[in-house]
Amino acid sequence: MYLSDLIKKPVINPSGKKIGKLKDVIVSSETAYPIIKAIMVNTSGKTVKNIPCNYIGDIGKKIILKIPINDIEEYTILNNDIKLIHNVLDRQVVDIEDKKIRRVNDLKLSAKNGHYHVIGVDIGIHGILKRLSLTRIAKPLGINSREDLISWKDIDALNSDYSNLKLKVPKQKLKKLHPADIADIVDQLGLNESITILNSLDDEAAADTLEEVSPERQVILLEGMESQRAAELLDEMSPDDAADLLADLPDDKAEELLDLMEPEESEDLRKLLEYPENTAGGVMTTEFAAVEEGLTAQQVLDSLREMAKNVETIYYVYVLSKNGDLVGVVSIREILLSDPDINISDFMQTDVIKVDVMEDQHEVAQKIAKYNLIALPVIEKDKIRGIITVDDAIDIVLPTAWKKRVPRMFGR
Amino acid sequence: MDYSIFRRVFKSPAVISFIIFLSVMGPGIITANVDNDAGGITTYSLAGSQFGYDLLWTFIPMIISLAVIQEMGVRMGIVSGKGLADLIREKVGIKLTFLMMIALLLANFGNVLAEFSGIAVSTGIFNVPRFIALPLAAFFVWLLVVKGTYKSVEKVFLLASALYFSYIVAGFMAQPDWGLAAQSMIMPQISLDAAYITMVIGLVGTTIAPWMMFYIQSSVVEKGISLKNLKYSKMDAVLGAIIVNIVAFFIVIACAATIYPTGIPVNDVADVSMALAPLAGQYASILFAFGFLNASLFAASILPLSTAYYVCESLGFEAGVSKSFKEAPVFHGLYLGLIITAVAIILIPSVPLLSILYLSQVANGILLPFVLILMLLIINDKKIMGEHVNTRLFNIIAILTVIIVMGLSIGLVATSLL
Repeated sequence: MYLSDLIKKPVINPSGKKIGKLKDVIVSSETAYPIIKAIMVNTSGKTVKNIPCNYIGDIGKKIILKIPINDIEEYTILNNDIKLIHNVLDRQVVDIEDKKIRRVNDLKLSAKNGHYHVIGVDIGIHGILKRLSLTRIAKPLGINSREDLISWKDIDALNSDYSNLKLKVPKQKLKKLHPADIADIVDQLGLNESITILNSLDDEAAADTLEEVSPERQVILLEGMESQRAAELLDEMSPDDAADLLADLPDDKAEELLDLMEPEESEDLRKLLEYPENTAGGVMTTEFAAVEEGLTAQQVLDSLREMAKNVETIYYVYVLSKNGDLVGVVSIREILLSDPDINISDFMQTDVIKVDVMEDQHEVAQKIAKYNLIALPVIEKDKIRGIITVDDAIDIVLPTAWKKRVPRMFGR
Repeated sequence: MDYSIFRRVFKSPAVISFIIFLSVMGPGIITANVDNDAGGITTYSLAGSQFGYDLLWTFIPMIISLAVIQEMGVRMGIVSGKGLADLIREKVGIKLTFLMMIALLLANFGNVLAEFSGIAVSTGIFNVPRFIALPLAAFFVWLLVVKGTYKSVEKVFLLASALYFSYIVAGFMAQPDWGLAAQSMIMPQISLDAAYITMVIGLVGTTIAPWMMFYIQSSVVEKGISLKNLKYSKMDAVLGAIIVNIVAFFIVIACAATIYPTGIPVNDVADVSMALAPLAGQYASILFAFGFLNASLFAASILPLSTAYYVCESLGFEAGVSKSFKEAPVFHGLYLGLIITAVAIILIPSVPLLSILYLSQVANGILLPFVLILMLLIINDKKIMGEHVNTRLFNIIAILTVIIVMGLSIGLVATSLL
């Protein structure tokens, strides 16, 4: 059975008296193959009744109820319920398996253990022909009308209603995808669907996704979101990406978000924003691992364990003098291979390869390539301000946005 | 407060506004320029040649409704982040969408035919035979897509669109009767003659073409303009509407001042260009022809591809130039089908180019009210547009446009039956 078979089907009392027409089908999104909970009926009296599924007797040419409608206690719609016709049919869904956006032409329903389940969505010509009642004409014409079905367990429905944006509906399936894949999907969707997806993810996953979204899109999404949530995502993003994004926002919006952010993070960002965009200062991140000189290898390892909670790149540990000047660098490899009791000052590299905050970003990328570094410290008046990691250097040479520059209409 | 964050931008609000405007500018202006395509220029020059200044009054109402409708498209694109075809599918379901897409496909096929006939006519003026010019043009259009350098070519076309100023120059060189022109702008000369009504529908159909609504909305979505910059995009849309009509106005005037009084029968742009030479000078004539070629080629590059996209995306077929024929058969079939069929038809000797051009504009005019009704349904839906639904004034202007265009279409059918 297909959902299209049910649309506007007459609903009658056991006595055979017509009550109205089917308006929508309500399913619970809790099971892998959603169970039909109730049907919405447009009654002849111009009201809408939600009739629970267990009162439905026979579904044939008409839907026959088991008892008269006036004796039925109506079903109350829950927050996680989905209206199949309103929310799914004709809309876009995410195909988790192929990481693509699909348009739903029809839904396949099936009866099992006394329940009706949604088992999949039809995305092909078969579904279109069926909806247009053209299957009988198509067959003699030799049009292939095999159904093109995607199992419901491989899709995630989206929400496109402007008014429901704030609802947090967890998208368990979507979460399994890599943030870069989610970002690809977000790039292809409308604004409301994109925001729903970001809102359904936890802060960390949403921030990772946002980092991978194309720059123009980032701005739109942040502006469309609630400011509080936007600030939380900025907190989670790596400072260099967050700073780039803030620089693209209108000044008042950027200022508002900075004020909402955690003071520690926003202070870093304000500093980053002072540097021109194409300089080392503009592309660096302020998260790096640093210790004061005089510690033993074991002590460094211990403090590194602490720091690693907030710092992404910990391969190099920078050694600072008492007054904060950068005096040396050791790699994790060197620390692990050394005797735990040896003072790091004894084996650190004192001839640190570094760049000035105002250095051109392409020089930075060249330096990283030339010396085969994983990260390069950025200094200002002998003080370390941040580091530029090799992946950011790749972005300088091969901007992440390059593939997205192909116009959507002509290149997708 | 730490003001150093603003160091990267200019401080003057006026400068900032202007820079933002430049950055979002495009969709409106480009759509406007594509709008002055083969069908447009032909219809405008025929209107001037056959009816003199009589039809000038249509431009003021056309500017208003085009500006309103373009603004609606821009707003829908920015707020929803979706194209018009997608929104129609989600709003009214598959049946109406399917009908709409069939109608759009037919009307746009007419437009593509018109563009290629425009190429045939304009290259004909320069004595290039059409069996050479057309395959070359089709190859060029195809190459553009395969090489994926559409954006840079778009810039070339836009630059070449400066040629449209040649129409304004041609208008001045033709030394029109400015007093009469101004008077005709304000005082409508209405006639119930079938030819007159057909011409008015043609004018409306080419100026406010259905495909434009789809195109402008997709470009806004593609450009990724944020809600904050909505007002600048609105300016872009309105400016575009004004530019189309100014260019059109001068084309009508040029022909009205020169060809109309002589009574020379003109049937296409080649005739117009020929007739302009002794009356407004050789320069005006050549500029007219070259502008025509540029316009036809520009629109021929955009229309088949965008049509294939709208149809496929709204019906859920795979679409994309980067996809192989096997992955996206419907998309490639439609795209190549539109171009090849159009070229094949135009290559038939003695095919009536003028009727094709003209009828395609009338088909646009008939389809227009239906597209507008769907746009109105969508833009007044709070679930889609939130607080950005239409104001009452905009609804009134759009509904008036629907009523007038429908009235004209019914009038056309009625007069042709009588």
